[in-house]
Amino acid sequence: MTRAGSSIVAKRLGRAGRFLWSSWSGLAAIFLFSVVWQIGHEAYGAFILPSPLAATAAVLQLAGQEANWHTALVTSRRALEGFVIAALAGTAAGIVAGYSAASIRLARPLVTLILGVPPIAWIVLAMIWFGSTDGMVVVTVAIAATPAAFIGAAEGIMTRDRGLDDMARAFGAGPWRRFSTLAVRHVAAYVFPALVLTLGTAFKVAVMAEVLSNSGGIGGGLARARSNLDVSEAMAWVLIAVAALIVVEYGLVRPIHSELERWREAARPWGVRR
Amino acid sequence: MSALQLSGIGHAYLGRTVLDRVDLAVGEGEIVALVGPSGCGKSTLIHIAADIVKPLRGRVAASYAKHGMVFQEPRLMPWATARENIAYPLRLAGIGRRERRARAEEAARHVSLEATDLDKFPLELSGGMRQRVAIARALANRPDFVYFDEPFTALDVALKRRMQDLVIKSAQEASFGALFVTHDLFEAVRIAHRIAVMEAHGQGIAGERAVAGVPGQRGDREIFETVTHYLAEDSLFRHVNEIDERRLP
Repeated sequence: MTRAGSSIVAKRLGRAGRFLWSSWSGLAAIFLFSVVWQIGHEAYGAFILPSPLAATAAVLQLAGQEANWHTALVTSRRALEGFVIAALAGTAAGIVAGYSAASIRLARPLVTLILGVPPIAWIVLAMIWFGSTDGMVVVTVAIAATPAAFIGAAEGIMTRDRGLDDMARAFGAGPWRRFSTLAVRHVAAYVFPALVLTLGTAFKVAVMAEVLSNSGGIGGGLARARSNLDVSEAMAWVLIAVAALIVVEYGLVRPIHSELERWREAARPWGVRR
Repeated sequence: MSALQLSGIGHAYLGRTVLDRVDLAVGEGEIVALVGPSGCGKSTLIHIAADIVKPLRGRVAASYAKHGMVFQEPRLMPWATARENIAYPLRLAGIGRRERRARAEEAARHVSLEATDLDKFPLELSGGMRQRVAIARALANRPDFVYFDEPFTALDVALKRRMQDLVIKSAQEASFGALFVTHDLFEAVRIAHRIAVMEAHGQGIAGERAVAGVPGQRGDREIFETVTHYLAEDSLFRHVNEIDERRLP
């Protein structure tokens, strides 16, 4: 048991190491992007496009003030609240719809409809319904992000392996056990990419809603920077919003996903592994 | 007393009858091979017997305590290791983690799976190894009856033979009864105590033949001669290989 236990720990450490090591390529991509940015800065001047260094300095300056941390947290909290609501509601509804062919037929056009309404329209509607409050941002985020989670979960349930279902039935599994031991794992593979998408939508919509309704948060900071024509501060707020998204995605969503997809990784030949 | 008694089984898919008035009994510790041409409803019948499909008519009376099943494809969970796959029926039975591990390893030893392979995922195993895992899974919960649904059709000849020997050996050691669906008469004669032939259109069992001798002790020549005899002189087996699969629905 101890030997098996230590080998599991070693494997896990190896995977974590690989995950961390892969951040070098991420850094390389960021620096490449900075190069393009710097070229743009040199071509158009500091007023249109401040240099990456200036923007970074502005970020550091903003980060130096405690109030700004609070601002960033407000947006993250709103985005995450909306995301959690969307993820739970979308996934649950998607699972139900996936099991019943009739409801998926009813739901598909509805999803297209909801996806077709631009988030900005939801923001306006939510502003009318809720005013410029916390709840308005959260509701907008939730509405904009739910369809992706819904589609992911429904697809997952619909594409589940009936052969495995029959196998479980042969070994005496009832509907609940079949769902909890087989369908959940299968659905997770579909829901997680959808959730990554949902999370991105959540942050973008949250910032957008804040800009439009001037209800504080990163969007509020952006709106202030715009009225002051302070481009480097605006850039800095954009950077902060992206950083918040990256922290949540790579710190939370990706590790869980790679843990679930371990078996796919195992089947990949050496040399193809990332 | 029989371990499994099917009486008057009838089933239809979307109004098309695939089985009608099928009666079949399997005794305790007895291996019955169910043969018939492709598309005659063998698979449906074994699915009904294993409680995967509810029959439209008829009754399944099972007096065994618990059963296992091996399918044509391994049907392993791709996200779980071989060990977890073998332990799946134990997990369903609510057996604790430690006990599950020990019993999965015992079942794996039984089918000569190597300990190093137990931590691999199905995708990392060869076809034969996957089917071994599937057999180990069927045996993990120590069933007293096992259903085999054309389990070795997709394997090559040498591997098929080894797997058949494995089934014969574990059936004798664990003394379980079995219903073994196949369309390969050689396989049926090697493995079974008794062969039941299904009517070409699922209209009941056309007839039965007890195979002389004990499974595992029949020589290759004996098996070959029995099969030749069945095909050449026994009218019961005439339709087994005489079916045009293009005319099947």
